[in-house]
Order: sequence, then structure tokens, then C-alpha cells
Amino acid sequence: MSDPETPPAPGPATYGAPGAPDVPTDPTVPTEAADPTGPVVAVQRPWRRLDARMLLVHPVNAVLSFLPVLIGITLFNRDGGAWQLLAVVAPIAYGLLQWVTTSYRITDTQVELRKNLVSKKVLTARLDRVRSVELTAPLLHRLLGLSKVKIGTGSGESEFDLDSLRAGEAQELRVALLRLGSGTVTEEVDGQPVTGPTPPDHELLVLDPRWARYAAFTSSGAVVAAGLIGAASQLTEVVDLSGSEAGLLRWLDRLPLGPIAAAVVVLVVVLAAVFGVLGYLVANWGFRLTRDAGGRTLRVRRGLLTTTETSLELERVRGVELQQPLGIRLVGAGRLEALTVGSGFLSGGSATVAPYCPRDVAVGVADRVVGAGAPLRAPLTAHGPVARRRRLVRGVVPMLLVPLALLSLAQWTALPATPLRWSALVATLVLVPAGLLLARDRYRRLGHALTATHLVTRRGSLAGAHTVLDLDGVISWRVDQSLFQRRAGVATLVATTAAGDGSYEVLDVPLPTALALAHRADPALVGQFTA
Amino acid sequence: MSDHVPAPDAGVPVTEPTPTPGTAPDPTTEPATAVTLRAPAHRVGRSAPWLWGVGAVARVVVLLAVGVAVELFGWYDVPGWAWVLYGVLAVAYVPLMPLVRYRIHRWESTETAVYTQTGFLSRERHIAPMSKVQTIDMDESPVARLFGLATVTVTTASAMGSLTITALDRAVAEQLVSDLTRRTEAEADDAT
Repeated sequence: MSDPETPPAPGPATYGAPGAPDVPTDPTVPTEAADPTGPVVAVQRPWRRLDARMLLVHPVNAVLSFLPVLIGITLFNRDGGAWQLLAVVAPIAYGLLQWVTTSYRITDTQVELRKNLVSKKVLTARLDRVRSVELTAPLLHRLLGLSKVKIGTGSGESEFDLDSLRAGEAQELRVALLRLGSGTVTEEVDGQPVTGPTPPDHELLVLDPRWARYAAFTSSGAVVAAGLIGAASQLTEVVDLSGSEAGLLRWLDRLPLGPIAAAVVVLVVVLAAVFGVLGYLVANWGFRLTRDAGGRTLRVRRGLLTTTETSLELERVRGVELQQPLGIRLVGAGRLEALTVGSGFLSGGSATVAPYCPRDVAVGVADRVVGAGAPLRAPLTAHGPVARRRRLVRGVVPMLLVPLALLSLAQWTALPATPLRWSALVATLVLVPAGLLLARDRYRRLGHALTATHLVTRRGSLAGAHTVLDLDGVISWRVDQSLFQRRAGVATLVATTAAGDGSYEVLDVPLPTALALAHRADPALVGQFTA
Repeated sequence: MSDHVPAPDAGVPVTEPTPTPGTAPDPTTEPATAVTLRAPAHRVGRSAPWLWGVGAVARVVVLLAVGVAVELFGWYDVPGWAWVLYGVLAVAYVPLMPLVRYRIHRWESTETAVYTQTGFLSRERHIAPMSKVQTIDMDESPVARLFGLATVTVTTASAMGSLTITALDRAVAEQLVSDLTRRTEAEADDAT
């Protein structure tokens, strides 16, 4: 499989005749060297297999993924001896086949991955288009000293997965792909060029484990907690309990509903906090954000069981977003995401560059990622009384739906009317002030700013986001007005981008303000159409 | 990020005041540059109201069929006034919506930008620079072809950033597509 862009160098070729199937040979045999007197040509690199230790990993993973099937077969098919054997052998054989039929190589201009399992697939990634490299090491890989490599190009995220290489090799590959080294090839090891020693990274953020306490204020653990409680209650019904446990359950059954419900709620909240903290620690243990010496790449390392290391070219970053859900905001913390340009035509994604940490820390990281100007600190302009009125209406009116529903149930169905009417009253007394408070907070969170290089917009109370968007990363501008907005004289300015969510809004500003903002952001573009 | 300058190391105090969480932003006034955006120059095709009218009739009929089915099968007893109300709304919607739309839908294309205005009850104005355009598509549904109309879609790297100009005269659409293609080739950059 010769690189079509470069002619094969003179000398004995490592491969068979053109057209014959390539067989990956001993990877340590050096290939033909460039002819020193002729034109400089790319050295034909050998195809290399992925690390041999994958022979252990693939079968284990395959067995694990087939485990439910295996359990089913062993439990319910005790006399099916042959089937049992097949069920165990098949995934192992599949894993081995995968290893045997996958090979990769790196030339001077591209990385190629060849998979021959069912259909022949050759994936190519041009070296100069590589924009991100992700090294992931689940527990088993880590034990064996392996690392998966996932390569992302700027436009069109190919499924370029090398599963996996030795950890050291993966790091060298990462340096080579992102051209982080000194650039001069000093030696060749195993047919791969090794550049000079890499200058040390510039450290931007290191995890303080005490930040895990912030995770207790998110809802991330609540799902797990609720699921756990649900499963536990299911279990008590299925499993046959006797003696003291059964007695305890009977006693619990006899308690009045109120205290039980309250106790369950408290239990859920406590468990949610615990699981949130645990989840945070597992995901973010050892979190380190660094920038390479050349200032071109961000690198995020994190993980307790599965370590992930993502390297991201700053060229792909189009802004940052400080995310502060309500609970997190009340305790003065936040999370910082970098808005990145991702896969092709669809909107990109975001990469966490700072997990939940004190707000000042997150803002400091933002300053260093975004560069000059500190746009996240820019003072924000309020959106005016119309925005406040609209937030109030939208905050209170939906809250009235619940009492209305209860009242209509009381009116038109056979359910007992009086308790429903009382519940409607209680609901009104609780929900309407809550809606008012939420609406007021939502209004106070609204704000925008425009610096020389960035658009800053903030919105949201329950899921608060303060977004800084590079003006170069803005693709198009939209001014939207619903019927009510038109009557009130306000509009929503939308900046669309290839990064992050795809669009960021400046919500409910007076129409002249929205237009002035767009005009200041891009006078050449918007100025063509101003009256 | 253009002109990326690494920020100073930690320890250098930042001059701007850090807004404390929970405080409202300052209600400063915007600089007094009164900007108004004029509407795009061109209307869509002359037969566009007919196309939209056909769509409106189809939707009205489908909804009517659902109501009739509900009555016939006895799933729900639709009150008499609901039928009357629906009739009134439908009779108003079918002729009026296409006319209102025709007044609002406009488009314009310059050497460096594409500008569209769309909407019925709402209004959306969308400006995209030629340098960020990735593809230009023209398609004609069978119904649109009856009226000699076509739709031009301009896509960008952002899913939310694509512009659609519906119900253009076919000749105009073809001319627009070739103009846009020529202009994007002249302006091409990374487009993200």
C-alpha cells in the first residue's frame, strides 16, 4: 500500500509486487532510505500492528460485552455444553481477528489506519489537518501500559481510532501529530522519526480535590441516587426477607405517609450529594490543564479509573463559556468549557477546561485561554425594562397552569373537589412567588457586552451560562422578533457559529440596541444593509 | 483564535472589577448610533402566494379530516362552536397567510453577503458573509415546479447559520446560484 503522493524510493522494497496483498512484516526492519543524491522523497514507512498486548484486552472486553448473553446461556442452558463453549470462544476469536487485521503507519504527510476485518477500510488523516488528539486509557489499558489514540481533523471528524498503542508511543505520536516538538528530526527509532525533547508545557490549572464539594450542589448525582432507591425498593419486593428485615419493613409500612415521604426526599438529596462528589472525583481526579510552550495547543488530563488526555489546537477554540447552574452559582463556583469547532457541517462541541471550581479560578483560566482583553470580566449591559416584563410574564404564567389544572379537575371530574381546591390554593401560594423569584433572577442574569474581539452574552438562571464568543468565529447574524417581541419593540440577536451549541443569543434587547450591536461587531457585513 | 497572545501569568492583578455573582449588570446606555436595518431588496417569486396557498389549503384540509375522523369514530364529541371557529380561522388563514408572507419574505445578495428576511407572525432577518458559505443548493419540490418556483439553500459551517430562500422564480434561482458560486469562490477562506 504505497502512499500515492510520493514515488517509492529506489532500493529494495519491503512489500511484495504492486497489486499483491500487503502483509505487515517485521516492523523493526528499516525500510529503504532516501537516495542521498536524488530528490528528497518520503521514506516508506512500514505498516505496524497495534500493540500486542491488545491480544489480552480485546478478548477481555469482548467477553465483558457479551457477559449478559453468557450469563443467560450458563444460567438457563446448563446442558448446552457446545453453545457455552461457542459463546466464550467467539468473542475471543473476534478480538484476535481484530488485532491481526488492523495496522497503521505514519508517513511524513499523513497517518493511515487499515482495517481488514470484514471489508477493507483504509482511513487517512493528513498530518497538517490534525487539530485534536485524544488519548484514553480505561483501567485495563492502564494496567497493561496501553493507551487509545483518537485523532480529530479540523473539518470532518474521522473515526480515526488507534486502539491501542503503548503509552509512551502514544505520547510521541501525539507530539508528532500536533507538531509540538522542536521540529527537527534527530533520530529514527523503529522506523518512526523522533523529534528532539519537547519543551515543557505551561500549566494553567491543577485540580484541588476540595473542589469536589461543589459537585454536591449539582443534580448529577440525583439520577443515580433516585435509581438506587428505586432499585432497592424493587429488591425488597423480589427478595424473600425473613426475620428482622421483614419486621422492619412491616413497621415502615405502618408509618404515616408524610414522614416517610420527607425521609425519602432527604435520603435522595443526601445520596445525590454523595454520588455527585464521588462522580466528580472519579471523572476529574488529577485534572491538569496545560498549554504547550508554543502556545498553540491546550491539553487536558483527567480521570481516576479511565484517564483521558485531550489535546486541542487553540485554532479550533472559538470562545469559552462559564457554566453556572443555580446551585453552583449560589456557592460561588462555576465550570469553564472551551467552545470548539468540531465535526464538519454540524455544530462543534465543547471541551471542559475547568471542572467545577471557584468562580475566580474559572475566570482566571478563561483569561489565559482566551488571551488579551479578559472578555469574561467585561461589565455587562442590562437588557432593559421590556426584558424584565417579559421574563416576569413567562415566569409567572406557566406557574398558574398547575392550579388551573387542579381547579378544572375539581370542576369537571368526579374527584373530590375540596382537597383539589385547597391544593390549588397551596400550589398558587408556593409556585407564584417561586416563579417571580426565578423570573427576577433570570432578568438580572441577562446581559451582553462587545469587546474589540469578542461578543459576550449571559443568560439563564437554572442553567446559567456566560458565553464569550470570538467575533472571528461568528458565521452569520440573525435578528429575530416574535409577534410579541415586535409589539414590544425588542428583538433577539443571534450569532451563529460552528463552535459550541451553534448559536448564541442576546435575548430581548431593544431593536435598535440589537442592530447597533451587530453593526459594531461587523460593520463591513451589516453596514451594507443599514438604512 | 486570531492573534492569540498568551495572557500574563497568575499574580498580575486584573484591572477590571470582577462582577460578584448575583448582581445585576450596570444599565449603561448604548452609544447613540441609531442603526436601522432596511429590508432586503428583492421579493420572492410572483407565484409564491399561490404555492403557499396550496400548502395552507392542504394543512387546513388535513386538520379538518382529523376532526371529521374524530367525530365519526366517536372518540370525542367536538362541540358545534369549535367547528364554526375553525371554519372562520381557516377561511381567514388560507388567503391571508400567503399574502402576508409575500410581503415579508425578501432576499438580497451582494458581492460579500447574503441577506434574507422571513417569517409570518414572527420576523427573522439573517445576514451571512460569502466567505463563510460552504454549499449552495437549489431544489424544487413537485408542487413548486408547477408554479415555476425553486428554493435556494445556502449552508455554512454552523447548522443554525444556513439561509433558505423559498419560492424564488426558477430563472432567478438559477442566476442566484451561479452568482453565489462565483462569489464564494472569490471569497473562500477556512469558512469556520
